Amino acid sequence: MFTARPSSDLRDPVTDTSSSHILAERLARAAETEDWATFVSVVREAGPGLIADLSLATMVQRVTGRLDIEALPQGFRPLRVAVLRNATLEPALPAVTVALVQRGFVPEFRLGDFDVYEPYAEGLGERRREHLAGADVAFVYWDPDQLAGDALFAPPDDFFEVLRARITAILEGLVERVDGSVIVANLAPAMHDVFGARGARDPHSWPQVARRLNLALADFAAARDSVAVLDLAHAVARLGVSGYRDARTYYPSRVAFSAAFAPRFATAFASTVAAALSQPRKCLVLDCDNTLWGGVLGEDGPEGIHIGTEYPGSLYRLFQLHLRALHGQGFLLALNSKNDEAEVLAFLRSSPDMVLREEHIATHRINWGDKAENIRGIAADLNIGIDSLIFIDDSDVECERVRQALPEVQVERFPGVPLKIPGFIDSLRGTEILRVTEDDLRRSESLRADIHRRALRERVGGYREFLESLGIELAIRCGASAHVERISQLTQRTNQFNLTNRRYSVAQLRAMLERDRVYTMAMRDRFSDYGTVGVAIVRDTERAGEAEIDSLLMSCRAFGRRIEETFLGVVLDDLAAGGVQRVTAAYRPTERNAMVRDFFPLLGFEPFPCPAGEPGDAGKYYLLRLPRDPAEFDELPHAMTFSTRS
Amino acid sequence: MTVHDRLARIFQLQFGVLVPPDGDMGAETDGAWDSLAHINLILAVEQEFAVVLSPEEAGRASSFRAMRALIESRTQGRPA
Repeated sequence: MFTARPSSDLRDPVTDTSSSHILAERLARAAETEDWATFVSVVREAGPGLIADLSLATMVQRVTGRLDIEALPQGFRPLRVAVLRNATLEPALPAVTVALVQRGFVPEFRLGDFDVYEPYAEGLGERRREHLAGADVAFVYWDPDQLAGDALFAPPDDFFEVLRARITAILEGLVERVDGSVIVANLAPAMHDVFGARGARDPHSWPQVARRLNLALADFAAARDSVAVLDLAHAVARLGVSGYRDARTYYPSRVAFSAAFAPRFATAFASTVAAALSQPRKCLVLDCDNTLWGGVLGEDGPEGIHIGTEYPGSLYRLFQLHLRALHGQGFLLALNSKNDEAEVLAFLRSSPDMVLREEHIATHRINWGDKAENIRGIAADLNIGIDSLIFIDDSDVECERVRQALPEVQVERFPGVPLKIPGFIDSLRGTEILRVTEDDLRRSESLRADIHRRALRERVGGYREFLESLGIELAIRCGASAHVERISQLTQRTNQFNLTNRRYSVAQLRAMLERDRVYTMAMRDRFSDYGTVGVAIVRDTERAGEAEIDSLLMSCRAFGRRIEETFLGVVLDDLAAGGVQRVTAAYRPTERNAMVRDFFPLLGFEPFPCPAGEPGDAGKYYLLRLPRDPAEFDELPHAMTFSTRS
Repeated sequence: MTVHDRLARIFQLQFGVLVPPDGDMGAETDGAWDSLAHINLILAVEQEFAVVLSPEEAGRASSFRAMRALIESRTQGRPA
């Protein structure tokens, strides 16, 4: 289960009114000229201060309501949010809108009728089905006082069971009915505390019932792919229970949150949405001096560096612990530092206090050159896109340089004051995930092996000989339902070797595994085991003997090894054996997948007119008659096994 | 900026229209000024002027002029 947290108190707020006026003017100008790309970029760059500015946030919500969500500026996607609630959430929506736009989502809210849950979950009535139709997120909010009702004051002994059953049934109905994700807020403490000391030990008191319900919600979410929990109880605790609602708006109008809490709710909401729906970044590129540790290695020497269990070194250690945890979840770490390379590497190896060691660092650029240029080199080393990187540096100058040279990189200025490091860690975007897969755990290891592989490549002359010397073994499977999470992740994250760029949720793939042919390919070589690296999804068309390749993609860790020919060859042979005579395929161009533009024609596929129902300019279409001509494929003799479920 | 100007800015951001110079704008005549917009407006006013308004005061401030008079009475003598 994922837990979202709002940004910390220590994050610098933008409270300066003069900057608020400048921001207002820039936003107003962009809105007047209908320059939506500028409008949303200004919102995105404005930082947490804008989330907390009620007047400006209201204006942002009003203006984003005018955007055509079918034609949003580059880098933004629509987010249709269907809300089920028993309290007034509207006053928090301006802040939520800003927080979502800052993460690349342009929201459209549909608020459900007060106190109505089951009719939506059970799909009773056209209007209620319409409410959930096409929702990217169904958000479920329960005001604890309203949920418990009068029973809050004297809960019956079976109250926990009654509410657990009710909540579970509602959520199950939503999971069934909603194509997107279900996000449920867990229960905040109630407005009324009538139990005193009993509330912390009597299992039937409302505080204990609420805590047990929150644990039940966590279990429910952990067992389901499309459910995330917004940890409202935690967000409320950070501000203080007495401050999260405002009696003046709660009792007259049942407003859920105070003006002080709304920005925190918004941040937690956007962060949960990002974890459920966004692709995380892949690699953190880190400065060393005054970022990984306090002080300057070249000037203060290894003895003068702040790192360890004593303040202020303890705060840099905290950051390193966080980085090591991210590494453990499959994020890559790279160093980009103006320093003496030998000195930094020696410090990584020999300092008794460092948490991060050489083994955690996938690659590095330690030199006196341009950091933007270094970042390009790091991305090339790791075979990932520039837009998969987060750059963290304490220097405004370096941050600005990278922002200007490489706008796709997420740049985060590391705080100059050590006490602000915990807040920085809490609010670091781009690393939210709901779960960790086995392949995530293997990623860093296999990338380190890449470095050895490159050394081998330099010794072995020709590329073909080099590939053969790797000892590649491929395991191709059809209908491998155990790997459904990894398959979904590959469709979500693969951008370069991806012919059609169709993104599928775990739930969608479960259905496809039943209906279509879903092929996967796992790869290992002399150096490491990569796990599942390739996916092909093939579906029968309405014409007899014809099938279409819905998706074909290969992880960036694997392509370039000439395994794609082997993979597609096995798929086509399996289709031919199953009686398929014609295979259609499509290439749908994006900004990132030009490398596979000619993939099908190079393997002997013939151009084919655009099928009915597809927009004519959406891509290129191909046809291949089976059985294929093996001469077109020029496969390398990789060791290969093929197994199928049926 | 005067109370009038600061308040007019809040109204403009909230409703997307300019307040007439004579301040003639009220919940009864303006369709966008519904009960939810009113809550929002009160919260924004509290934030801008650092005042706390009771539900009764907030309920009476249902026109621009009434709101301005209320804030002026509450912020009198304070540095702008």
